[in-house]
Amino acid sequence: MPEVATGSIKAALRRIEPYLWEIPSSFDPAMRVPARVFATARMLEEIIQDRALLQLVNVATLPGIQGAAIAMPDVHEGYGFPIGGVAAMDYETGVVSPGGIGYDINCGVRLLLTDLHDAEVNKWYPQLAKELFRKVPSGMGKGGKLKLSIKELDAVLNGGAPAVVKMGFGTETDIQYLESFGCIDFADAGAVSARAKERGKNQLGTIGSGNHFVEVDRVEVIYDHAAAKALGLFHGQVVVLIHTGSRGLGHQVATDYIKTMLHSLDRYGIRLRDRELACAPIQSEEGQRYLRAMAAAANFAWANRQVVTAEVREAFRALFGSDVKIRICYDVAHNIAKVEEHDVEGERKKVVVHRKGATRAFPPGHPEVIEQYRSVGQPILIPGSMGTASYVLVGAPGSMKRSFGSTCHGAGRKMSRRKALKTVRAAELLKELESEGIYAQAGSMRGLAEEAPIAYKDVHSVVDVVDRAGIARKVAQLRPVAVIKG
Amino acid sequence: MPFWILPHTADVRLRVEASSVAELFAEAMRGMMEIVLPGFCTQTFPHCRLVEQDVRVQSVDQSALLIDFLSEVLYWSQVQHAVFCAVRFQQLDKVSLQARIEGCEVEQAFEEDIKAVTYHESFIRQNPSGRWETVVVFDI
Repeated sequence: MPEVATGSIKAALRRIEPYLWEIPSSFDPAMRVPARVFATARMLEEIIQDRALLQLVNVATLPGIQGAAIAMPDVHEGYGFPIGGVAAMDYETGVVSPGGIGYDINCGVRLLLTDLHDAEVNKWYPQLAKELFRKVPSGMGKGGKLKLSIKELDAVLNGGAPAVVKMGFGTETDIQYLESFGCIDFADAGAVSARAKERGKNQLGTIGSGNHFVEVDRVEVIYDHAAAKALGLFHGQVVVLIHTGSRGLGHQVATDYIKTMLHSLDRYGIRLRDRELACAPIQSEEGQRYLRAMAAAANFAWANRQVVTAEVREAFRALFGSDVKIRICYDVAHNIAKVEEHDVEGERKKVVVHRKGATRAFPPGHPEVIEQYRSVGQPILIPGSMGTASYVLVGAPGSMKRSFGSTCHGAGRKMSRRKALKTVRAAELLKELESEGIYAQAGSMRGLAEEAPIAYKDVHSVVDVVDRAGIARKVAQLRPVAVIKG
Repeated sequence: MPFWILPHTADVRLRVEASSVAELFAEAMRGMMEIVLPGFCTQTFPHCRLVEQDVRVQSVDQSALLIDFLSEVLYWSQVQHAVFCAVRFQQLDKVSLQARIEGCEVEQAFEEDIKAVTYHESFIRQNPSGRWETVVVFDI
């Protein structure tokens, strides 16, 4: 199938709601549904600078896609699927595409709440950054302290975060505050290759590199006091964000299954514009096996964030004593496929929702929101860049109508890594951050420069769009005070 | 230079050009290693611990074969913490290859963590001047 030109996308875009734009399915004969993007007019100008919307149009051509291919305001060019995209596929007739989940399966964010107040501990932030850097392994290919046998690794792949709680990393209560309780039950370690296990076996409890981090924040602004109270947030509170995923194990699972699905495309009569959209019918052997492997990698990621949580607790206790209380607020996946039920054109349908750089955003009252938060909606954790701010939101009713219960996942990159490297000097960046009271520790100066705030879109605008579009609601803004990067 | 790193919003896009398909594969591998540890393959390291690895790859076509070959090299690079700078092909056709990749186990941390080699935009073709070229996008 030939690709369409980027320039023509701009002309095709029309506003259908104040913060929602559409490329109609008539734009391209191969589109099965429209492509939609949440943005302001100004943001859209930035979004069309790369090939993100072109990629979204390609997603709209996939078999079994329902409603629309959707992009969030933090969308940017990826490979195959754009980053910041949502695609729901009919469970019976649709396809599952590993590229629609991404290589870092269940990359996600966890928010930890401490009982410490900024005013009590802010003089310790530089030491806290160092202590966290010591306790949480980060960086390229860095292994953790936990070396698992294949049998133990299989238990983690099948059992997720609860499996590592049984090994002593955290408590049963922790599990209550994780999306899907930290485990997808149809996971099958047997569907994960020996290579994936080899890459992942020493990586539990490590954050890796790239945009992954552990960040200490203080609660800077509260927008919704009732929701903040329900989530356990208070002004000035010291909290911790953990951003990491399934590490080498997940990367290998995606690599393995994209290759498998490329081989089976002809058999299922699937034609693609981009091989990174490689897919198989959900009900096929390849589709089912991938979903089981993806679930296993997702479980590994939840277990990973659980072990990192234990390391963070250790670091805090080393500095502030064993009395310090740290509980999990919530843990969200932003690279994952979930089997869910949604209303599609008046009909209740079972779908596989692909979220690649997008977060689930279930509204108040949804049965899958944990009981403790059901009255306010599912918490959504939006990390910004290390020098700006992060946000806590909750799901809003509009998400079920407009975005298959989904919202944005972060600020979204706007500058290439290479350009960031040319523009930013890491040593100066460290000084600048410090002058603003943000203490950073990084394994690689290059990695730090690549992740400089200048490389990211304005997180405030991104969050404002999803709030105003009615798919999520702002609860609190967090300000970074200490950042650990790989 | 046989490879160039081009702009991409979040990941790394590499353009490779060579006078033969075998050379294209070898340069794409060196280009990937240049991302992982810049400058390593252009230096000589008398004290490095040599690593050799036999690889076999089978794919749906030539462009996929290159990506699958690079994925294979990436896997060995990560599990052996090695940088592979040379490749000797025992067999290379449009859908399969057998080769020995050669490199060094390294002590230092990699500069970039490539999560995966993607098929996105990869399309091997001969340009008007008769040279072989393609683009490879790496997920970072």
